[in-house]
Amino acid sequence: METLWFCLVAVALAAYVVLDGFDLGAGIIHLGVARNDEERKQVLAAIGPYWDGNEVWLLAAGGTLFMAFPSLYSSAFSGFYLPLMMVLWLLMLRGIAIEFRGHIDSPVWKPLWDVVFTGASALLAIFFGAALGNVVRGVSLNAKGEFFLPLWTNFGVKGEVGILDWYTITVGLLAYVTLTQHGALWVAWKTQGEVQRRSRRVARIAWWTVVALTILTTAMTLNIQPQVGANLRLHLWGSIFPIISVVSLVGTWIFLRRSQDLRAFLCSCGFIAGMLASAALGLYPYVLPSSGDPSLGLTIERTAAGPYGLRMGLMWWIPGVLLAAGYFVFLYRHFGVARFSPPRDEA
Amino acid sequence: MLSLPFPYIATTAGWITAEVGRQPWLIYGLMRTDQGASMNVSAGNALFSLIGFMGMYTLLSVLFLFLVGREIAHGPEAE
Repeated sequence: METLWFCLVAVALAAYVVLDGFDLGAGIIHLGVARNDEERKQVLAAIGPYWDGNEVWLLAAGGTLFMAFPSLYSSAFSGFYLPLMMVLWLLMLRGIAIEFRGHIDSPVWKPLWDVVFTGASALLAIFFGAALGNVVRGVSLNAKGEFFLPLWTNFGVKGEVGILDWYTITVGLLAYVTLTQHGALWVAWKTQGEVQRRSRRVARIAWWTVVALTILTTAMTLNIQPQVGANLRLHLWGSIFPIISVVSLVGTWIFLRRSQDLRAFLCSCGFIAGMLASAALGLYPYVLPSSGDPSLGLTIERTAAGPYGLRMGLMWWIPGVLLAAGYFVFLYRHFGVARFSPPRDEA
Repeated sequence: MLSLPFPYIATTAGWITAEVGRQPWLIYGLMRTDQGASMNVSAGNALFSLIGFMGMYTLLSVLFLFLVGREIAHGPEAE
């Protein structure tokens, strides 16, 4: 039952990254691919109907985590208190920027919110990547399973660690380029004209950085967290996830070259899902390893809620998620393959 | 028009009643508020985030009043 919930939390988190990932990615490329107001409106229209609903999956993942692994939630959200507050503020700023931008027709107002939109999206991508890096690397837990991380200590990965070290920064950069590619592919699918052309170029360049950083991060992870290598050797079937990632990444390139934007985007989704599933597999049964003594790490057994709670939760979670998923299917089909074209006088 | 502030007052008053009225309990009869506070988050951190939120909300309120004021001054769209 605990393992099932571990997988469900991973699924909810992966859904968030795949969905809000392209909103963040669109934000990252916003200033670059859109040079005038009409083009900026195109990019915002590309994520317009979706971004608010996509963001809610973060709450779904957090809520699922709270319900299934309450001690992990309490330990982690206290230990990562300040970065979490900053993530919260960045999410607020991203939403405000999108919503406020259109209200005043002013050469000061609109670029200001464009910059806030791009800045917040970029920082969120880096923060989320660094957060994942922190979880995989482990934190300095005490005997009670608590911790509080400073922003950095000595940038090393053992013992007394900080939120930023060379590993978590690298993972943050990997998240940044992955979401840039992801967002660029979505924007390329949803737009036409100059914005589409520039997005495809960004996606092409981003792809190479994704490959390079994936190789680097994988090597680092196997080096730093012995649990990951051990799990892969133990559960050989689990290597399906890294294989899905690699195949998807290759597929992204192939479809990008053929300008088949939707297929390239779906391959990017597969890449992200495969990467996160690999991380989850590598972490199991730890939910938060220790950077010092391994026996202090938080496992699913130590942190899971009681069996009654987990059973009841399942009875609510499944219909709830099915309802949400049904709505999402409706939403994406409803706005379908609408492409947002440049204004008529430019055509 | 004079009734404009009343919904805001009502909602805020309701929340203040609920949150102040529950003290000193976090979970009535089971857990007190000071027992629920995390031991790992120092007072300085909590103050930082409190000031941060106050700043964010002040900014948002000012922007809100500015934008809504503009809309009201603009008046209704012509039919």
